[in-house]
Amino acid sequence: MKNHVRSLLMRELGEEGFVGAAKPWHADEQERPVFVDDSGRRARAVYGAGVVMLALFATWLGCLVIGMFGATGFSVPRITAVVRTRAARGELASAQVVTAGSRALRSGAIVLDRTHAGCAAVPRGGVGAELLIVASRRDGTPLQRHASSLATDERGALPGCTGDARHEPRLT
Amino acid sequence: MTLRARHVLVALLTVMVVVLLLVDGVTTKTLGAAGTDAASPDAPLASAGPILVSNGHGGLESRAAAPGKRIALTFDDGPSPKWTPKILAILQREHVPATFFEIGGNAVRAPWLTRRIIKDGFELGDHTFTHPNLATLPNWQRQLQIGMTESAFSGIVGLRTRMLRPPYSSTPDAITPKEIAVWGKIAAEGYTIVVASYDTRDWDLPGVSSILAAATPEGNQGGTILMHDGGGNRAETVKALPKIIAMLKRRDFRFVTVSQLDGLPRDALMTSASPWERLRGSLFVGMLAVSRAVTGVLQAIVLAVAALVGVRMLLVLALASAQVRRGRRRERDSGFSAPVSIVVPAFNEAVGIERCVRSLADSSYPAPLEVIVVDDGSSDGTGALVEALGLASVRVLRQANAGKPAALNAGLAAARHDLVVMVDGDTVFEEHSLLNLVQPFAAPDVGAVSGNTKVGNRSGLLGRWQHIEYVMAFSLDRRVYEMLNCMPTVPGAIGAFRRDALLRLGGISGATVAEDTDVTLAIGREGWRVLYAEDARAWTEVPCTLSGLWRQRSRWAYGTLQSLWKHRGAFARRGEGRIGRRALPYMMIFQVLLPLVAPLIDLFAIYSILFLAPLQILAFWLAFNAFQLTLAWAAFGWDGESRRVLWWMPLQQFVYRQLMYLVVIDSVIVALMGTRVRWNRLARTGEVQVAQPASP
Repeated sequence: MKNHVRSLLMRELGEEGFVGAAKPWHADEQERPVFVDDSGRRARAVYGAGVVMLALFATWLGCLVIGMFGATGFSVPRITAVVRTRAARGELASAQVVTAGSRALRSGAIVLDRTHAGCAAVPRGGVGAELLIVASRRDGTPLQRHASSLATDERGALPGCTGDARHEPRLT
Repeated sequence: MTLRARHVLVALLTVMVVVLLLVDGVTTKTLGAAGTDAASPDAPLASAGPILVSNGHGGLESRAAAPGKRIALTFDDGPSPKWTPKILAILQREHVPATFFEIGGNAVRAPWLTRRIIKDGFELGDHTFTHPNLATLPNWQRQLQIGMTESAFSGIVGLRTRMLRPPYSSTPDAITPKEIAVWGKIAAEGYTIVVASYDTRDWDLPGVSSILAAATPEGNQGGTILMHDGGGNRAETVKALPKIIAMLKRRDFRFVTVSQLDGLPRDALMTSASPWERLRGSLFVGMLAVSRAVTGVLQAIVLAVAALVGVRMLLVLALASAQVRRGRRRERDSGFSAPVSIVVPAFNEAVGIERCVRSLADSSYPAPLEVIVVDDGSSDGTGALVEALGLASVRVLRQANAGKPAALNAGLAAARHDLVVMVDGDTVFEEHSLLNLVQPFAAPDVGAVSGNTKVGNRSGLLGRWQHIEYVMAFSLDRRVYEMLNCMPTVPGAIGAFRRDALLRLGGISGATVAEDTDVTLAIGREGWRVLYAEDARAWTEVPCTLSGLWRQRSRWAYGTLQSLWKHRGAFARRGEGRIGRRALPYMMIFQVLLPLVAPLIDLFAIYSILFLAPLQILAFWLAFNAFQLTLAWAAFGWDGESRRVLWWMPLQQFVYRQLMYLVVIDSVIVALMGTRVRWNRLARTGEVQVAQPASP
């Protein structure tokens, strides 16, 4: 049909009538629909780009979630590390083993027992010093953590503070 | 590679942007109820000091020694790039230590300030991530608020702080039992709650003297002084701070940090973050920077688009007004008439072809007129219907279905006259439309003329919206194009051409699915002038369902993209600047790029309403609509249309506008993918009403 139309037009104008025949917008047999790619290569590239973007987004979201959650409070290893560091510096008045999961500990009171796994530390800071307590099972695995405060007069009651990291439980 | 997969991809990309915006919004916006409770001597902690720790029973107690003549200056709500450096400079000049309770969200926005605070020896406290009232939040949100701030500090300075100042806290005598219960839980996690001994209330901008008075200790009673280095205008704080320091020095107070006031070494309250915590914090800060960058880019786009749309509105109003004035000055009826061939391509147009052909044949036109209906392989008897009319001036050509461009070319080849009018098979002419349409051809350099397409089925909501759209597109845009001499489209419904001009192009091209735009651009590139005849009205049927509208606009949008691409060479070619450097960029910006970014603008508007300034957004939206309405008011007036339908215009901003830009987005993806798009013929109802225009 197109050839027929073209022949009609040619007859009307003659070959010389198509002054712009070489220009790209002319309706001749060479003209292909713009953008069409029947091989599907471009479609695959577009989907590929989309998948890459989604992967980048998923990575971003994953990193964000990893970064934003779980930083509340002071973890068992963190307190242990602080205690260890401060004991090594000699800043601690005492480092003490406490009974894990004792009723007194659960109720907020403090029970000290050097024979069981766990760690307590009192800074040398004098009035109003705080006590950090880390409790763990006998085998050294973490069981419970707790942070509380001790009155000043309890500082001296803590026996056998060595601050020696070798006496601390291995908490992982 | 199905249609659905493409749409899923767009939906996922939209979700990505939404999540990025949400993350930025949620980590910026203050959550929960605000407000500081009033002080009361009967408050449970009225006699407590400013440093509170867990009492081991879910409550709080103060165990710190009496502060004596020791003062800890504390600053909340920072860091602020504007005010924090000024406060740091004063403190350093005066050799005074201080503790900064930073909002995590501000810290990640200005990490260099947090680093400087630590580097210069000041102390860092947690003031939550977005400054909510912790007592009003569920536990998981409290954990998140504190945890995110800790994570941010770990990433920025490699430290974690055990000092927490709850937002909206003041002095111990203002702490309620509910706050004690909530803060007690936080303290049980190992945090030290730091409140104020002296609250300057500088956030309320009470005046420098009031701040100074509020910071003045009673007798020799030291403690913490609460001020702010962020969260608003802190000019008064900056002015008051040197006076406070001087006053305290005069009275022999000693300046300490919060940890010193508590009798603890600094690293008891600010501990080193572990490598994992640092890595996690760095990831957190980095990822937030990404969402902030996206928001920043969006903000820039919104501003650019707002400026562009504003300029365009003014330009359209000015140029369209000028065209109207010029049109009134020039002689409407030049008395020009020449023999005309009207080509009507028709594929299954039985519903409306009779009205169409009759309206053409009945035209009040003084010169010879022929109507050529090209039946493009119709199966509904369109051709026979026309032949049965027995109209002398009407011929029917039949061809196997080959598409609209081929039908037009067949009609063009058969046309006997020098002026060719092309009309869609569902279109109805007014009596004088034809005469009005050919008048501009009195000028020999005019190659084509666009008529004025009117919506003939305006009864439903979609019809009304499209009516508004058509009137604005013709009464404004085409006037502007005429003034700029860069008409991009002579509509298929009603357009007239010099036959010579078309033949020199080789006829109507089938390379795009918007052959009207394609051929108009080509004629413009050849140097012909293309004008607009507003009084040459043709009534057409528009889609009355969303799916029909989607199909029609998809073809238009895709065809426009094809035409833009096909004629891109005009941009750089000499002598084709009217098309290449006016029409094409205008179309590219306002018909492609703006619709492409429009969803981002809508999402950003929602983001702004939720997290930034809802009143400003509302004001902007109202101003935009008011200006649009002004344009529409003028357009309807110039076109002689009733303005009552404009009540429906604000609603156009919802659903309809979104549909229009989704069409463009989809078309761009289709173009990128190289998917073949075919003509989607709309189902006709024949409900075309020819309304009499009101007096202009």
